[in-house]
Amino acid sequence: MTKNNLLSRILKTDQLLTFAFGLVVYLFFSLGYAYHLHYQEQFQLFLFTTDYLAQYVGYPGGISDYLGNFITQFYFYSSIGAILLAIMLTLLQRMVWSVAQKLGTATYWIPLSFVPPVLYWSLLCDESYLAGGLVAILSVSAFIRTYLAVKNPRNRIIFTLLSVPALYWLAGGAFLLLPLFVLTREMMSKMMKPLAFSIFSAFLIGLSIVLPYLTKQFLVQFPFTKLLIGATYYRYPVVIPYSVAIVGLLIVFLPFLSKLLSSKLQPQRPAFWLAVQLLFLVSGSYFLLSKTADLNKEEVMEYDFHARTRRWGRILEKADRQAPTSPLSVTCLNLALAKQDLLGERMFHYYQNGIGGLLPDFTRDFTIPTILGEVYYHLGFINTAQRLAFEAMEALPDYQKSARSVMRLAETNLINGNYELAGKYLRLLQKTFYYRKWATNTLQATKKETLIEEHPEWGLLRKMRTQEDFLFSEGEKEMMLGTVFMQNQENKMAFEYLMACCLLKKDLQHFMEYYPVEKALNYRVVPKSYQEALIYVWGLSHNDPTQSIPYPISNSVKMRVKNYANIYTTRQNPEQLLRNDYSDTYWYYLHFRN
Amino acid sequence: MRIHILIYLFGVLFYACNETGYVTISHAYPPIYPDYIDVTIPANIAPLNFLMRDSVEKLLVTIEGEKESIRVKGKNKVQVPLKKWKALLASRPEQTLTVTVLVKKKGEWIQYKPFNWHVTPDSIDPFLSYRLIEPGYEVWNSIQLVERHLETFDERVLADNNLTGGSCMNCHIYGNQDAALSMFHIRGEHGGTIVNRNGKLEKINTRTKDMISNAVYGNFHPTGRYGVFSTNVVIPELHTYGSKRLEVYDSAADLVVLNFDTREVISQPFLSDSTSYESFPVFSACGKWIYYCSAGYVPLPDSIRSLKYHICRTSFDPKNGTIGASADTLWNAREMNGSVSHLKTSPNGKYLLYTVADYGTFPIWHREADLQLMDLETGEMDKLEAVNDTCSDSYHSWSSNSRWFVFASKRDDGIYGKPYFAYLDSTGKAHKPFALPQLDQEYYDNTLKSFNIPELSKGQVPYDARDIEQIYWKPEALPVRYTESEPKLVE
Repeated sequence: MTKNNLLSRILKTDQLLTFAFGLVVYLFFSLGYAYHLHYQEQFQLFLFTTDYLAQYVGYPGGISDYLGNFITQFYFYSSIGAILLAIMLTLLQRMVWSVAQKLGTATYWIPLSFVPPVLYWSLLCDESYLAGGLVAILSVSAFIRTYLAVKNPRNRIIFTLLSVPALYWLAGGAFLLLPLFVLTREMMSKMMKPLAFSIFSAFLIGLSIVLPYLTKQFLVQFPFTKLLIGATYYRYPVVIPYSVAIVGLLIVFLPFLSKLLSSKLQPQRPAFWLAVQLLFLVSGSYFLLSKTADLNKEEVMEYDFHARTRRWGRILEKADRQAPTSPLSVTCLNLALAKQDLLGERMFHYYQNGIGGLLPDFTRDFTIPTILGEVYYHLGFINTAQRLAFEAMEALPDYQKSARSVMRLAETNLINGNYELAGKYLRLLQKTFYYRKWATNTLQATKKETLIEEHPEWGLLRKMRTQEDFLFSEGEKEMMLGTVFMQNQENKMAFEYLMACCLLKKDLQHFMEYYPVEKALNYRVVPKSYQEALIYVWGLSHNDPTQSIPYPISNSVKMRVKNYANIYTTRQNPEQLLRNDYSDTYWYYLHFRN
Repeated sequence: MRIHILIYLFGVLFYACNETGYVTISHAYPPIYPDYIDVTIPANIAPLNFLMRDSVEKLLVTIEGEKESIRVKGKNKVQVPLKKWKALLASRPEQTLTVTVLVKKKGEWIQYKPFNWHVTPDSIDPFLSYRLIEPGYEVWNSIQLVERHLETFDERVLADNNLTGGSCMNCHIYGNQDAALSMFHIRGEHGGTIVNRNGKLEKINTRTKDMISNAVYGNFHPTGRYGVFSTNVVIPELHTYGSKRLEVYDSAADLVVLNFDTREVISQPFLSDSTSYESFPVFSACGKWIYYCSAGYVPLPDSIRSLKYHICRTSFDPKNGTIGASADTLWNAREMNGSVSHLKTSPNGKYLLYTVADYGTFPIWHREADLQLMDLETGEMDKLEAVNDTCSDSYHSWSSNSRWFVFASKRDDGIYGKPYFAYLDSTGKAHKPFALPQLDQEYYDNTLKSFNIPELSKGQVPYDARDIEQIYWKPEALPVRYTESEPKLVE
């Protein structure tokens, strides 16, 4: 094969490489990181209203944020979200490559053009990096590419001077990359006369500095840093996105660097050279993504997603494959167990991390209250669930609203009979893309109460909710669970949570006090963890707890407690010996879990 | 195009008169939002735009005055042109406008029962300030103090917590409805009470070691020299049942007067001990009295339903800046079986407007909270039945002519407060209130903000959010000095 033939084949492979890159990005986000997309989608409420649009076009970078939110709404289906992210990142690569080619970069340097999109991909592994930032960076790249397409020097100057304010409004502070690129390019090409270049540079730099200051004079309600940064790259406004700045600088200087390399290095074997670069690119990307992708968070997000969509079976299947250990995942697992009537029976089959994995305390955050709200909602603490939905939405640092929270607010108000208020939230959801149908159907329930009574979830929760008022007290969870249960003794879940609280807190005195209520709930068999606790307590005051115990304990539990007690009392390092066969028992939790 | 519409409209009306089968005449009022059916409005208010709550295909609205009329069309909402509206209101200072709503619904034209807008020449103060905040629990997000021009739809941000480190901002209040005399509190690390006197802004740290908290609820003396404040240790609790939401109460509450010239804080032992809770103090229009709410100590939160506030009055000597040594009870909470909050004296000194709830001191989360009016000359009380609704009505403020008052009402949905304006005629009769008009009334559907503490003023305040940003980040707030007043009863 001649060198020319090989090069022409490589020429075709640039598109192939882009396609392969897009495919890998798609597979990553749709198969490996899908729940991060669902997580992001729920914490925004994209409305097809002029008010919503006006809110974003009113500040520099707001249009990028608006477009980013527009894209994020499609994360409702992670596969669509993954396609959109793949398209954006491949577009970024094509843009960088196109600029590099235009500057005269040799084809075998194409792997360098993947560096900025790979870096941005790694940033997107952090759930706080938002799509609006990528839109801003893409916009800048598009302007840079368009600038290169203008051949006439005078037109290029006019284009740049008009583009700078436009780009500032579109992308925010990232607009600076355009003058940076333009000045570098004009300086290197030497197409302008020195005096013209000096005047142009001075004017361009002056314009770039003046723009944010000028904007501050008119947009008084924005802090100056916001007017400097513009688009919301990161959910927390206090975080300055330096990593994005690095990507931005690469977008500007990488094409010049690749051009320089092309002129300085002309390898004899370009295919080999390309292969070496690709090897570095792939291994580097793998290393980077393995460092930035947080699979523990992905696990929590998956559990939460299933809890949100009431896929209790999926939660149990996942936990059976690998028991979760993080408190929020365990919270979802315990909720799923309770919804499947299995909490008392199987909770100690899985890792339990105390009360924090059952009913975590409220924090001024948006993730914990959202998950905690699910538990209180299903327990019948409708007002608490409502409060947590509200608090979660208010805690969003980027001032967005949450579709999930608004849905929950609509539900809690329907259950509480506040139809006007439920209607307000539902009318809002009618202005979204994915929640419109649900909202329109649910609006019927505000006019026809029987639809709520007959609804499998709302009807049940209306019966199970608190019947008399008391003040919520986070420090007295057992008291509240007991009160709710006593108000409606059909609320079996409240009872099971109460018992689980006692067991997890190792408060066996209260467990024994509450246990007699279990009879009223007509359990066919006493749940396994209760049996284990009962026989343990009985054993504290009897030599052989399996004899004469007045509770209905199964033979299997009796047999196991004997073996467990034997190992526990006679062996030197019982934990290790018991872990394999008895970590699914309450006794093991009682003795070895903090 | 416009001619075609007019021809079409005339055609429709012609058939309405001659063939009742073509236009159905409904004897019901149209389901419009906000409820602008038969309301009294000032001659200087912006157009009362509205929307239809049921789904309609077309909407034709005729607003007929005694001399002129306006016709507006829309899909399901109307936006009355500002110029035409002003001309219509200017055509006669006092008139009744008749509003006819004709809709096309499922292909059929329906004409609803016409309703009236009674225009009174008693104008309302043209500026309204309010706090925009989500009606949350413990966590807050964006808070803005906004000034709205009532004669148009122009809005201006006076303060934004986006610029002040996310800190909470409280009630923005005026003295004598004068934009040159106003104040509000900003909390947070660099916070303080921002006092505007003739455009000069001061940040005051209103707390001394002798006080239980910073200044909270307050009011200006008519001279502008003093402010009377309650200091409150505020505790929020959460209800678990039904439509009940938050219970906010004071575990301690006292009353102080601050001299803005000397920055001296004075009080009286009976207003600053732990046997009672004092709150919501205001000066009388003459400046010689302080009205305030007071409740005896009860163990909280256990006895929250027994926490009931009276209306009390003590004297004040503006010359020496001293508070009287004792107080009268004007409204006895036990006898009236209620609890009072948010006192506001009318600028003409005739009335005291306040909120009554079943118990407690935070009526915005009490659905039963209603406004009540006391005639300070006769002691008569008016339950303002034409004004109140089933949800909380509170946080009121007077117009400088004492003919209008604005209040925050949660009547639409129970939690999102909106400013409503009520007219008090020369006989003291209150009329049905109307909601603050918006350019697009769908704004109320789309927003998740509540309008807090609406306050009327005669002019624009002489500062904006940038000025507040600057003063907030200044390191020091001006300190105050606490002294206890010499017991002295003013004649």
